[in-house]
Amino acid sequence: MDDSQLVAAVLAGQASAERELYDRHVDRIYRLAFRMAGDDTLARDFTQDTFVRAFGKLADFRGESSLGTWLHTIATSVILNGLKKVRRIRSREIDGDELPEVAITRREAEPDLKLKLARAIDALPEGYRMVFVMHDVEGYTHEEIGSALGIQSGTSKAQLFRARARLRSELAEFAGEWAS
Amino acid sequence: MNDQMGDEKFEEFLQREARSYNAPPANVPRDEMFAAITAQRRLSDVRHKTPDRRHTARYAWIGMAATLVIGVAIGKFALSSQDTAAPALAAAPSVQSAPQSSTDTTSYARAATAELSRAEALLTAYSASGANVAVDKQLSGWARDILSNTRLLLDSPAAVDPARRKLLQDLELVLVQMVQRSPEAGANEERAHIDRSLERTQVLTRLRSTLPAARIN
Repeated sequence: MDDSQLVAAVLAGQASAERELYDRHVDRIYRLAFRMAGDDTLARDFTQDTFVRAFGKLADFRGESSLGTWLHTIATSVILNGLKKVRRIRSREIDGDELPEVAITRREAEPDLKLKLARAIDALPEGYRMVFVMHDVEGYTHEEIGSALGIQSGTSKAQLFRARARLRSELAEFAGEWAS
Repeated sequence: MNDQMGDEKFEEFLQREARSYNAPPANVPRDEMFAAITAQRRLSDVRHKTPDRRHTARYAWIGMAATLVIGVAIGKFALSSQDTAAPALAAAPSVQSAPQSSTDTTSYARAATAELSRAEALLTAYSASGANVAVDKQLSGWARDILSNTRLLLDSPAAVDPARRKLLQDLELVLVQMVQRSPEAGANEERAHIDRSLERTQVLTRLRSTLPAARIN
């Protein structure tokens, strides 16, 4: 069953088609949500919200892009807005303390370089981080990233370049290690 | 030249190491998330199909206000009749001086207790029953009655207490699942969803632990 047949079956009320659509795409969306949130509860919330919205708006799906791309458009918006909310709430709780770009509990007992890399990625502006995670961590193409984020693929490349440059600058003191 | 080599090495390093960044678990919790998505969608369907809760609540408030006004009017009329019939009683202390708010709060608490007792009975009956289509239909009808009252309670001062509010919200979710059972999904699958919600929210245990305390009040 291709995307358009699957969408038609869901709209016709076939419960099994809903599950089929979900199973086809959920892993990738959950993985992306988890990478961005660094937390299982938030990743589940973002994934669930994405599918609730997608099923609610499925009648609006025109098939101009692939279903996966369309779902990723919803997912990236849900994730970025969700992270904004989380950061706002945490900053209120901390009340004025300086916060990193994303306040995630960092893992312990890891080699310095890995830890430093993880912190440097956390500290990227959210747009850059999304592009970096999608491309360098999850292996999306620039075309897929561009469609999901509503930007040109060239813009995606430029943002990835800037993200890598920032990371390189942050990890300059470890140059000997990563270059070896 | 050195910079270019450095760039390449750095990209290799990123490709090697960045994959451990916020590494997701190997198994995606597909079933749990799908159950939650289905429940959320059904809840939103019910909200769209049934009249707006705020309107329903508003009508209930109007009804209660009207009852109160009529009650006061009857009381005044009765008092004035007594005044005319027996002027010696005019100096007696007024019944209206009793504090209104504590009476209201008690009434809502009583209504909530009564409704939670019905919910407890329903969930106990559900737990005791096996997968039986005829019984399930009866239980769905029963759940529908309790669901509308649960929603009224959620919009009333009975839900001011955060613990009771959370209990009513969790109960609402389970009731919606019971009301919205879809025959095509199969009785066992539907029961499995409800069982999972009951287990996750522990509604029945919480109802049982809430009710004895509430009954004492």
